Amino acid sequence: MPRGTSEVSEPMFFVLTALLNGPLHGHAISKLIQELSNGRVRPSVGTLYGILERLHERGVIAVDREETVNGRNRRYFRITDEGQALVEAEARRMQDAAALVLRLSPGQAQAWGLWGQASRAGKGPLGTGPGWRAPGGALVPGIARG
Amino acid sequence: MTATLESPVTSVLERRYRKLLLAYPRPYRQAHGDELLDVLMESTDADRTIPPPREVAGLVAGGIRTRVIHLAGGSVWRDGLHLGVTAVAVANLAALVPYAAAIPLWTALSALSVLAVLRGWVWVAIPLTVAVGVKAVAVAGGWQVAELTQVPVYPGLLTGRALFSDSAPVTVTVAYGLVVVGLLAPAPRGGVTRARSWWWWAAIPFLAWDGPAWMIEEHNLPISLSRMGLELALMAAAAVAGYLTRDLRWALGCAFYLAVTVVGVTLLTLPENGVILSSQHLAYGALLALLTAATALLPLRQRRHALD
Repeated sequence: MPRGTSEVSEPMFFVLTALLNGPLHGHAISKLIQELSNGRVRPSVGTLYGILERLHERGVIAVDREETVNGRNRRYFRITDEGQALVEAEARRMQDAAALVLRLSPGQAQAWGLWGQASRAGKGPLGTGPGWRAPGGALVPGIARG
Repeated sequence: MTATLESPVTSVLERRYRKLLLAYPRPYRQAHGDELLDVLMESTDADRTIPPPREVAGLVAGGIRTRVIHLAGGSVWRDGLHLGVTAVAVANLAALVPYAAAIPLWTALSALSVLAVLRGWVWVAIPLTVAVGVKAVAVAGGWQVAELTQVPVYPGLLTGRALFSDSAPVTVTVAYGLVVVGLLAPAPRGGVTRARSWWWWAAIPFLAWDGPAWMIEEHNLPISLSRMGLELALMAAAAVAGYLTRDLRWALGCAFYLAVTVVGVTLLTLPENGVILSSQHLAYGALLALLTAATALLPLRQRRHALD
């Protein structure tokens, strides 16, 4: 994944993604972000809460409930419908961007064993056919359909 | 393993985190300080007594950002104008402070007017500013108003120059007059003039002191390095605040302060006043204008992403 995209910053993307499975409190969000990014994205607590406050202000996350643990208040955040639509749109945008690179890069296609298959069909990575199936089963669309 | 709340080692760490949380504004600390502390303690190894540098940096940056965002509330027009008025009122008081021993009543009244401006007491600040302004213009012109004042007024501290020795009466009129105009200016959408930080009082010695020397002493319009340092630092901070909040109130405040300075200097350099600016004056003026332009342009920067 690129370090940042044109639509949502990378830490914000991971925060929204972490909340897709249900409400979480700050520490759980921090741990899940690290896990989802294989330890690459590790915002400090000050940075994380800055992101949470901004996402909250923009209405893409909301406070689901508050609990008291060790005598201290703890907010659980949930993603809103608007936030879910935003992160899904961002994921689709990144998927389209990745498909474009795979389609236009012969080196990448050869590495995946797709060049010969595509060339034989007269529908190489730069062809205009319906596309081919990348490892993992995802259909990579042809350029005319992109 | 993460820190728990009971161990003695943790209490040292917790104390240090609490001190770092002072970077956040009080209302935010009261609402969420314990929550942040809880996450910080859970995120930090139990054997640590010193917070990790990345957490320190995150808390300081997050605290400053939150403070700036908290300042960007209410009417932009009213608050921005009030910011500029405050800066000019403080500069007007700083001009009198070195002469407090010779004109104690007027310095005290000027201090009261600054207090009223800081607290947002507009209808107290206006008559006080007018009263002190009339006296200041009289001193600058060598006239007697209200009480007998021996002119020139010699300083007691911070400077060696007589009061208003480098100001024409008209420039003093502009400095006080624009404060009154700024206080009277109606806000398009109403709103309350809010109180400003007590830290403004700390600006006075920097503005009043005429050292360290930078310009040649004989020049009749010297600018001290302490004043330059303060003005540049505050305008740079205003530019950062504008960048973080995309808010134009800081640009308005800087533009008001710059306008008073530019109009004052322009009037002084009229042929009848005989003041000639040096290249240092022009360079410094250009720097202030550049920073003011930055405070106006940075809030309008292109958005990098949907939630920027």
